[in-house]
Parts: sequence; structure tokens; C-alpha cells
Amino acid sequence: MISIFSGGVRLEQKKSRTMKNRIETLPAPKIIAVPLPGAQTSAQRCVREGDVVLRYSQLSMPIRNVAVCAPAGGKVLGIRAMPHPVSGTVDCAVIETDEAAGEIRLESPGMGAEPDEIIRLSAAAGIIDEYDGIPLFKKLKRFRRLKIDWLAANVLDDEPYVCSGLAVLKENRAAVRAELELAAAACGASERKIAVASEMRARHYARISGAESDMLVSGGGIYPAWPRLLREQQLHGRRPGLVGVQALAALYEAVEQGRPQVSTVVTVSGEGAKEWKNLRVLLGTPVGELLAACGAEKDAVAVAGSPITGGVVTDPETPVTADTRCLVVLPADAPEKKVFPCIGCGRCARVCPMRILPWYLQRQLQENRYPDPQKLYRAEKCCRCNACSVVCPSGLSPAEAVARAAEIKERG
Amino acid sequence: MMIRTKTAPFLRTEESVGSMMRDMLLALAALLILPTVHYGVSVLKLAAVSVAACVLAEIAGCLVAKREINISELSPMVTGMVIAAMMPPGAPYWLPAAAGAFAVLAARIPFGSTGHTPFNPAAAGLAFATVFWPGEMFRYAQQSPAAALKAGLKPEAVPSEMLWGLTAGPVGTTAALVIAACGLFLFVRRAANWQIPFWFLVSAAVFAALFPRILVPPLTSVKYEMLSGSLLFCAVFMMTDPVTAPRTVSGGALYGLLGGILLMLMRRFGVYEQSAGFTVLLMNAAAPLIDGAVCSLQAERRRGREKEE
Repeated sequence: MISIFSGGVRLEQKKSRTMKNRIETLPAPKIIAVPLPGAQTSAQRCVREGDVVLRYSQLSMPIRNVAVCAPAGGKVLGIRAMPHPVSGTVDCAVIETDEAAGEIRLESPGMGAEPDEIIRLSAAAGIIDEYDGIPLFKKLKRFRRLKIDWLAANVLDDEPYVCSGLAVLKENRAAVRAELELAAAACGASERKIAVASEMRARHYARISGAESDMLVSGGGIYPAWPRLLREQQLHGRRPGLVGVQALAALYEAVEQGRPQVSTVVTVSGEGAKEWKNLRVLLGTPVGELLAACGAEKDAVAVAGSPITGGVVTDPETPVTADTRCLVVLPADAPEKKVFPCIGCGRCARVCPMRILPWYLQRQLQENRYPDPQKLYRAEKCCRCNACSVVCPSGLSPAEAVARAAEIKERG
Repeated sequence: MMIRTKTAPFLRTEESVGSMMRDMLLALAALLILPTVHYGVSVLKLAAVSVAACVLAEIAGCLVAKREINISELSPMVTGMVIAAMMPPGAPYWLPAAAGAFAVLAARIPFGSTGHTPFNPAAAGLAFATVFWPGEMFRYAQQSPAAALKAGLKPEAVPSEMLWGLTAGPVGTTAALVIAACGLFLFVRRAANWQIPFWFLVSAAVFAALFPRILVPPLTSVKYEMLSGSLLFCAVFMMTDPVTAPRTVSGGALYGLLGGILLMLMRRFGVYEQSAGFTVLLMNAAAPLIDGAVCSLQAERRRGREKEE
């Protein structure tokens, strides 16, 4: 289908090798550093140094963020600020795990489809959307406020290598569908879909058939897929919203068994790793454990979050957070892209989903020390997908120029 | 696709300026196969001299300008090959050498290297050679179709004969089918964008149909104009140069349309039978203006729309 929407780039997917196997569960490591988002003060935390916790006991209860439960029982060694795999730092409860510690017995909350109940449960169960790191309850609240009427499970995985979402969908199809209903009820959406980057790819990788196959909507097989997907819905007069598939699967467990989100699925792949796997790991597992489980080379570079927008993990102690969808391991001797001056091919503008002209902004910034904000067209619309930097044949980073231009424009 | 960089994105496409230039060189080399069969090895020598002149001039220029010598992106070689393709088969070797040296020393080095040239160096070199040695530039064994059309005569060859490069003309530009195949290769490999040549050819064809130079039906006029001279070659290899063409899509379309009309006007009223070099240079001068106009027009339209909302 020829679409009127411009933008996006087609990338080699490199998912087959990872998708061949089922999700593998990694045993609890000796030490985990459970991220406690939003719990900066001790008043918002439920544990102190030296406490012994059971599995599923409450670790933090902040007002404006999700409550976090212990993924494994053991002794709390302290609260430490650890590097966040995607950006910045996060306060973590460092726990020395003990298999004999036992766990709290969980019960299904036995609830109906009351919107407020669902939202409260998703906050109490500590569910975080894996695509953007926003707590599910906040997302649902916002969707309700915005009167979203078209809700889709986000199984895009539009970056190469990453397929944790597809793997979760493949193994939890019924759960995802059921929870999509529930989430839709929570925010009042009437239409429920499964958003994928490409229908063909989803059918192939996630073995989708039957009822789910009718629910698929595709973003045209491009990266980034969501701008096009959402814009198409908006053109049809709908108000669309996306919820991460892992968050939905976690909501299912919370509803059915009363289990909080204590684990997440992370894709570990890349040419620097021997085995490419989707691993189910406890939140707070050190990244080094995942790399070791997949036979990563010693001096390889691990990129967390997304191979296109993510960041390098330098510390192997960095904990896995709910929004760590992948670890791409690049070999140390990967070739570097040569840098040339801009030759004006205009590719950056053609792939931009927001119709920015990155080359133009870059030239404006290069030529003028104090560029005219009026001339930095559309810089503020940037969605930070980095597609322009991916395709630049000169090896430049137009995305950085756009970000700088947006900053200048904001300051006026 | 797995290429390492210090900052995000950690994946980049493998296409680079180097690979684009390599594709360009490959396509240009393919153009020389048929002429080599027709005219012998002298064609290859011509190309070798031209490329050598460009590369040596680049090295010399960089030494004089105290700049780092970097010919890894191959663009001086592309310039050399374009110049070679536009030479007549029996040209003396000093002709491409002079054109190549002028192209690099006057149109490339003073402006900085790749990415900064306001004018296509090859076009500048060709214009230089055409102005100084028109006799040598247009000396063919028999009358070329372009020269016949210029004189107001019907070319001896029928259009179908002109597809295979059997007629007189610059070495690389007579085999229309080969050029079309090379063009397709470049568009598929995305080494050149297809919009500019498309609009260029459309406007030239419409112009040829509306104002035939000789007394033939419009369609025949279109066939002759399209296949004679260096129009096709110019469309695929010179108008598409990303550095000197507009960068916006609509700007590119306008550039192609205006370029087609300009070339046809030059064919009709100009002095030379080949004026592709001049067309490209004039359009290059207009390219930044076209881009600026397109950008500010789009911005104004958007501002207007935002105000309405």
C-alpha cells in the first residue's frame, strides 16, 4: 500500500535468531538492586538497611509513582543510587537474595472491571510501561482524561534486534487480549487493537492467528512505527493510545494471581553475544548477569533500552529496570562509520516522521552563532527517534542538531 | 548495518558517502563498455587520463591549501569519470586532463572539499573545455544527431538506432539504454534520487513536443531530443549530484523542471550542440535559492495553518 505518510526507515530486523527459542527464565542472582522509582526519601520506602524481606514484600510506596515489591527474598544491604540503564540514576534497594527466605502468599484481588479499581491495582502492583518507563496507572489515568477511544497493545519492536514484546505476545496471547479489554475499560476506549510494526513480521515471529490476527494494526514495517500508526488513527477521527504489551501481561498476573510486577523480559542479542535470547529476569538483576548468560564477549559494548535511542551500559552492576527492553551487545571491533561533511542528500528529511528538515537546522546552527529561532522550523516537534542519524550517509548526527535547535527555540 | 559509534544511534545503515560514490563509479564504468567495443581501448585510456588528472589535481590542491588529503570518498574520481564520459571518442588526451584539472582546482578545492562545492566540478570542467576548445569537444567521425538537430536537419539515424550508442556523440552518452539501466541501478541503490531526473526529463520532453526543432510530428521530436546529445546522461549523472542540487523534495522537482526547460532553450538558441555543462552550472546557482524559497514557503504555510487552528 502506498501511504501518504512520509518518514521512517526500513531496517534489517535480525530477530529470527532470538525468536526461535522460548523466553528463558534467569534464576535469581546473589545480589539484586531493585529500582525504587519515585522513592527518594526514606518516608516513601518501607525497608531499611539490615531488614530481612520475603519475596513480594513491599519495598517502597511513593505517592506519585508505583509501589515496588521485592522480586526475591533476602537481606537488604542498603539503599543506593545506581546508574539507570537508559538514562540517569535511580535509587535501588540492594538485596542479598536467599532462596530459603520464603514468600508472601498471594491472592487474586477478585475484582470487576471498575476503572478506578484497575488503575489502583496497576499502581499497587508496580506495573511500568516498558516502552517509555511511565507507570501504567499514570498512563491509564491520562488516557481517561484525554478520552482515548482507540487503545492498542504496543508490540511494535520496530528497532532491529529487539523482540521482547513479540516474545511476550507469542507466549501470552490470551492474557494480553484479556488485559487489553480491562485496560480499555479503565480508560474508556471502545476499540482494542494490537499494534505491530509489520503484520507479516508479527504473524511470522509471534505466530499470531485467529482472533488476535484480526486485531493487528501495523505501522508499515518502518522505524519509528508509532508516529505513522497514531497519525493514521487520528486521520480516521480516533483518539489513539498505546500500552506496552509487557505491562498488560503484568496486569494479567496482578489480576489473576495478585502478583506484582517483579520481572521483565529483556532481549539480549547482537553480534557480540554468542547466544541470542529473550530472558525473563527479576527487576534489579545486574546487567552483567544477563551478558554472562548469553556469552557476551569481554570487551563488548552493551547498549540498553534500544539500539537506536538507548545508551551504553558501562557498569555491569547496572540493574535491569522495567523499561530495559533489550541489551544489544556490539563487538569491540565493529567498524566505525566514517564521517564526511554533509553532502545534502536530504535523507534525514525524508525519514523524519515529524517532517523536520534536520539538514537545514544543522546548517543554521553551523552558520550562525546565534541562529534566529524563527528560522528553526519545527525543531520543537522532534520525537527523538534518531532515524535521521541512522540513515545519514555522512555518519553525522543530525538528531543532535535538532535537539540543540529545539533547545534554542524553547529559550527563544 | 552494525556500525559502532560513540553516541546513539548505535546502529547505522551501511550506506555512506563512500558507498554512494562507489555505486556512481560503477555505473559510470558500465557506460564505457559499449564505447570500448566500438572505438577500442583509447576510450579507456581517455577515462584513465581524466581520472588521473582529477586525482592528481586534488592531491596537489590539498597540498597547496595545506589540507588533509582524503580521496577515500572517491568524488574526484567520479568527477573524472563524468568528464571522460562527455569527451568525444577521439579526443586528444590533454583535453580531459585540462578539463579535469580545472574542475578540481577551480570548482572544488577553493570551496572546500566534498559537501561544500556550490557548482558541480565536472560541469565546470566541461564548460571550461567547451568554451576554450569547442572544435576538439565536438569533433566526431560523422555528424552527430545533436549537431544535425542544431543545424535544423533530421538526423540520419532513426531513434531506435540511437538506443545502442551506434551514433556519433560523447563516449558515455550515446547508449541510451545503458544509461537508463545505470540510472535504475543508482535509484534502486539510492545513490541518486529519482525525482530530479524524472522532472527534468518530463519538462524537456514536453518542451520538445510543444516546440520541435525540425519538421516532424511531436512524438518523433521528443524521441530525437531525448536520445540525442547528453540529455539523458546529464539527467542521471549530473543533475542528481546531491551536493549541488536542492535538498527539499519539492525544490528538487522545481530544479528538474526548470533545468529541462533551460537545456531545451540552450539547444534551440545556444551556440554549442552540447550545453549540458552550462545548464547544470546555471541550475546549481539557482539551487540554494530554490531551497530557501521552498523552506520559507512551507514555514509560512504551516504558520498560517497553526493560526487557523
